[in-house]
Amino acid sequence: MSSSSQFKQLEKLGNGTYATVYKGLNKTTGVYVALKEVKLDSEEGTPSTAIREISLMKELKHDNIVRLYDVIHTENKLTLVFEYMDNDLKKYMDSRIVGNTPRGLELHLVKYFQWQLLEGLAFCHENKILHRDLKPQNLLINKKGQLKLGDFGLARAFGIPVNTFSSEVVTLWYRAPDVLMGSRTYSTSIDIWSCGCILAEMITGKPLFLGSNDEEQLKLIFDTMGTPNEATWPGVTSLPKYNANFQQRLPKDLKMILQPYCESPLDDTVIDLLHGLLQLNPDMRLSAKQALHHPWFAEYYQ
Amino acid sequence: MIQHVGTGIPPVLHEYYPHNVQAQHQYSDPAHVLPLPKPQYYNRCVNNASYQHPGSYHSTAVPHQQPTILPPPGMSYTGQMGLPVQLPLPRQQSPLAFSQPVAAAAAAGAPPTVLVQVPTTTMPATFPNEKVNGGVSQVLDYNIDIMSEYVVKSAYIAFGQKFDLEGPQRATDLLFVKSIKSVLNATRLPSVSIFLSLDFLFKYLQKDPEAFRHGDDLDTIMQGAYQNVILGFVLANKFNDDKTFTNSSWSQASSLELSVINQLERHWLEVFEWDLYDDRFQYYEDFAHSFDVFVLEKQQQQQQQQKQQQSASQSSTPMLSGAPSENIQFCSSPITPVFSSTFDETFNVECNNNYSLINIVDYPYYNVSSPVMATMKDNDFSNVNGFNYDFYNFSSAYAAPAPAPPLPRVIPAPMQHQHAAPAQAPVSVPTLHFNYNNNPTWNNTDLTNFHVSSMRNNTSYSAVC
Repeated sequence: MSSSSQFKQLEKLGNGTYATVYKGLNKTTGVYVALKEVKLDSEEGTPSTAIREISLMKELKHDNIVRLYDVIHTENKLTLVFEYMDNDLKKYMDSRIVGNTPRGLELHLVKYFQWQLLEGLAFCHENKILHRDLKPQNLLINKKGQLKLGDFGLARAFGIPVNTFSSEVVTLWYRAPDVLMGSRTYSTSIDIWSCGCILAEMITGKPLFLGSNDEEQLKLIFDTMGTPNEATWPGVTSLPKYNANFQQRLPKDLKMILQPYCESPLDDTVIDLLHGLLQLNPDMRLSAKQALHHPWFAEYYQ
Repeated sequence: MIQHVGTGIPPVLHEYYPHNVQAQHQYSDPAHVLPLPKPQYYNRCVNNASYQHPGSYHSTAVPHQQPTILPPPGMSYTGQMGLPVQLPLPRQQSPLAFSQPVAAAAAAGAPPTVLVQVPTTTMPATFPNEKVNGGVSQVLDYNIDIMSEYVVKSAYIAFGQKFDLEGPQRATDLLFVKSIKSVLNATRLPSVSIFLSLDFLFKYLQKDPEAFRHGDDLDTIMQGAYQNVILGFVLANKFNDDKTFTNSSWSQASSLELSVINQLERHWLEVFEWDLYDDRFQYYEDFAHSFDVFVLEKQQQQQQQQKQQQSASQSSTPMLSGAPSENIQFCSSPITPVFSSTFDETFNVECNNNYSLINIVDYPYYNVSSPVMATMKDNDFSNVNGFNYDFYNFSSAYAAPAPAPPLPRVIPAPMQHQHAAPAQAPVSVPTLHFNYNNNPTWNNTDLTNFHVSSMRNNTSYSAVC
């Protein structure tokens, strides 16, 4: 157990969903850390987000998941001491924008990041934990090219039966169609959809489905991936927010959509992986483990 | 229900998945899983997953309106943790007074203003048309009467007390049940969170035996038990439910002081070192199963009581008229969780009473003819029905520093109201029998030895820190 006097608080790194994050210096070891400060409110007690983030991240020790070193609990403040990372994927991609034109990452870097994302996620899922808020802001990177999952404030254990899953999870642009249609029986597939959106975004430099509300988000998804029906997705019509009047769209060729924003030619294997991650029917989506076995990652096979 | 979504591999992809990777269960520990499948329970959970609410997960900024919550009738556990407090439970009240909460609470020193006026006539078991405007679950996957008793019985076991609604402490026991019921009514926790809270409670008491010894007298112990049961609810809800309550809502629902809840919450998290998921709740299935069995036992008891009341209706004593299931008051409307602040729908309470799907024949425990209460003695829960209750043998589990002295039970048992030996023995309940500390083979083994993390070292990515 550390005490807060052990750390020197440096500049502010950003505001998380329920906390402020500062860079910090461990005065004893000289190692930089990230200090996530949560204000405690006596009416609320300890925030559930903090309870989950801490109790779940303590279980997740993996190269591609940000390490939680310690927790400092004082009277009116809770400080989570994390491994320090230089940047997050969103800021990194934003920094590459030239004028108003987004620029995707080099494909070899896309592949390396996506591999690490899937490695970290597979580890979460093996440990029966859903992240439920995967997006570029929550993927932290460092100068060595490492990528790590962060911000487990929305995460949830799923190894035990659940009957109160919320459908109000995952930032809208990365939210799966089944969840958008009100499904509460989602599982690991909810994170896989987000991974597909992130992969496309790394390739093009811009979010794949930029909706401003649930309906528009679904419409944009169907415009590209096609409108599902009982034949392509058994059970879809029974979802709470399924609408028989959805505009009927046919799937488009993802390569045609992404290639204009990508400088180097996209090969078919990455498009095939995208299709595996962005299956409308959650049961058809790849698992993280399966995705790691995709031929696109052949060069990483061990 | 563990979802195996994602194992359906599109045909075109089969060629490069030679091993057809499947999601792996790491959850149950074979040594401690009861031998029987329990499909009905899972179906209940899954079928109850269908309700929706319009509340936004991100709308915590919207101040949510709390309906006025009345504290559990007669309960006034408002003292500071650890301090000797005045008697909160009217355990020496006559059963008659127990049906008059105002009088009972006045005798216990509680302010009379907070009490619910409830007619002393028989209450219906449920309010079929009551509108619910809050709580975690719309449809409860359990009968709230039975669950309340189950929670209290488990808590008594955890604290080394004997729970016997027919015994001399029945007023105390009933009040405890009634209070828990009131809290469950207000919060509508799903069963999985309740089981998790009991799991937390057992672990907490194992990790911090000092929690037992805030006092020696029964009332202090009972107060500690109540506070800690509530704290189990608080943490299980915050950890496991997507709709969570603030501590001030818990304070309203439980009538514990907010400062007590905050203080206890902090203490629990310290004791747990924030590790609320270190064993993946490996005893979940055992809890679910033991609850199912408990439900069956209650149903059989009720049938027997009905038979006996029919056969001896002329000679029944006044005490019998206050049978527990009739006398428990309903509180309070449910309270509103944090993440569902904008309910624009109301819905009916539905308690799922349909546990009849469970086939008695499938459960070997029922081949035992001795009534469980006759077999269990105080602080001796071992070897009932050939089951290993060893963990609950707290007199040995906590024997080292100061074995719990037999608690004085001053009230003479009113023998009249005890039933004659039933012609048909009730089922025995394998209440809870997992081992947190005291199993002979796992003796004092740190739970982390069973941690999945030991498997993680096989991965090439296990982090070294």
